[in-house]
Amino acid sequence: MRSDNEQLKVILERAKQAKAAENRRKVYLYSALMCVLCVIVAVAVAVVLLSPIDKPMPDDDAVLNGGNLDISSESAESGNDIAESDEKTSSESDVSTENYGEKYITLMLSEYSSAGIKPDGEHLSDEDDTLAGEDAPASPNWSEYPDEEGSDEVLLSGTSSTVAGDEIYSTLYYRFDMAETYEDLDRLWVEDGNSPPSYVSNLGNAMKWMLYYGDTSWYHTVLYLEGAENANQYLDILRESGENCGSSNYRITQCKSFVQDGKYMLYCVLSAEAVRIFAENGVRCSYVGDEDGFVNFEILESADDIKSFCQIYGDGYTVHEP
Amino acid sequence: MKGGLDLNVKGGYDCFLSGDEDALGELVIKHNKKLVLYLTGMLKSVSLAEDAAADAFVEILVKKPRLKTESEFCAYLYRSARNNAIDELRRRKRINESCIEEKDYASDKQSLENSVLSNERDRQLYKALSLIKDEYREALSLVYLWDMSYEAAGKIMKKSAKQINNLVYRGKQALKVILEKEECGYEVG
Repeated sequence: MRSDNEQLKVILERAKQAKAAENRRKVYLYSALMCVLCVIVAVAVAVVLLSPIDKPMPDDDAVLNGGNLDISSESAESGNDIAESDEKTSSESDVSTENYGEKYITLMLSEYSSAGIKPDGEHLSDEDDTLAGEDAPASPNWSEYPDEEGSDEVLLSGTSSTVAGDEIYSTLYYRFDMAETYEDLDRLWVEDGNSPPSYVSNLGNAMKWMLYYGDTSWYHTVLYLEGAENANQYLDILRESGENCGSSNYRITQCKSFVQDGKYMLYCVLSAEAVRIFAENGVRCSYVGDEDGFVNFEILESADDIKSFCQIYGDGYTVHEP
Repeated sequence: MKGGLDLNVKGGYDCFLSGDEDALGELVIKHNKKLVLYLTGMLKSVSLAEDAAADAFVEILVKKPRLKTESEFCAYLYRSARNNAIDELRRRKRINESCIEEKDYASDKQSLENSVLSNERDRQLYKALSLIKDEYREALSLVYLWDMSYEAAGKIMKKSAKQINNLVYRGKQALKVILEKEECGYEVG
């Protein structure tokens, strides 16, 4: 039989063991809890990382599989090269300008007509639907326009281009994207050559981008006419467009005219469709607004102002540099 | 018949809860032998009863339950020890260890009785209690030898005060018959 002191020692020893066991149990419990939390965090991070991200550029595969194109196997191969070029350096790009342009032209037009959505994001009215149907004027074949010599169109292959398409795209998209975030930074001109390659060359680069993104309802546009002798022809086009005010597609809200160095210039605020009509008729259209679709009218009081603003043969879309 | 046993723990457990390590020793000295004797009646083994009592103290030492009165402390201690003893009985039953042969059981038990039960009258009563039914013995010993209230005894045995009252009454009747047979002249009640 144990004495009281012996019993006390036994009690203290067992209490020590019990506390150690309790501590071990707590450690195991906390460890298990931390493991569960880590798994939950890992799953959450994986879900976030693996979630689909909206890509601003159309998928090449989607274009190729959409049935809107009748391209040769060589063209398809070129398209695949475009998709792969995201992972390659600029020197590895092997895309012909013609095929590349056709694809995106077809995509843009088919998207607008099939979805009933204008490039500026508005839905087509009933009248618009008619225009988009059989009675609507055929979509211009942009590729039929001859490339001007010294054009600012991007050539993505061959020796005539030094800038890769994907590089241009990433740079410009980055600038456009960052422009929404950083408002107080310096502005840059969109460089000649930096443009989506899917538009005819008589559209300015910034105008191409504005049409491409379709994020502005109205396009502040300078129309360069080839000569004063043709001014009446273009004014007829303008007047004819203005008569179609029932259709917001062709609406022209403001217009000023100038003559500079024998060239007739108009400063207009046009809809995307009006821009398309003028471009289809060979008028050079350049954008002079900022990324929000606004323009400072005070600096466009004269032809010289417009000249300096647009540098005559370029257009003046301004973006913020990150 | 109350008296003889000092279950006063006032101050001891409070001191233990406040961090006084020596208070545990005082509590063990006060309650260990009585508790072991109580458990020996159930387990028929002094060593097992000591283990069960030690585990009960360990439980209080680790969990440190908030007990306000001495009655609550005793009830908690005895009930915990009783549960340990029941677990041990179940374990023995499961492994068919029905008979524990303990070499020094008789001497140890006698020594324990002598140290806990201070007078001959209580020792005679304790021996007589071992002859009656376990339930009666437990109730009578808690109430008369360990000087507990019916409520405290009820908490230990998981019964109501009324049930303890009934058990005590029946136990006394059974004890009376036994004592009359032995003609020991011990008066009950």
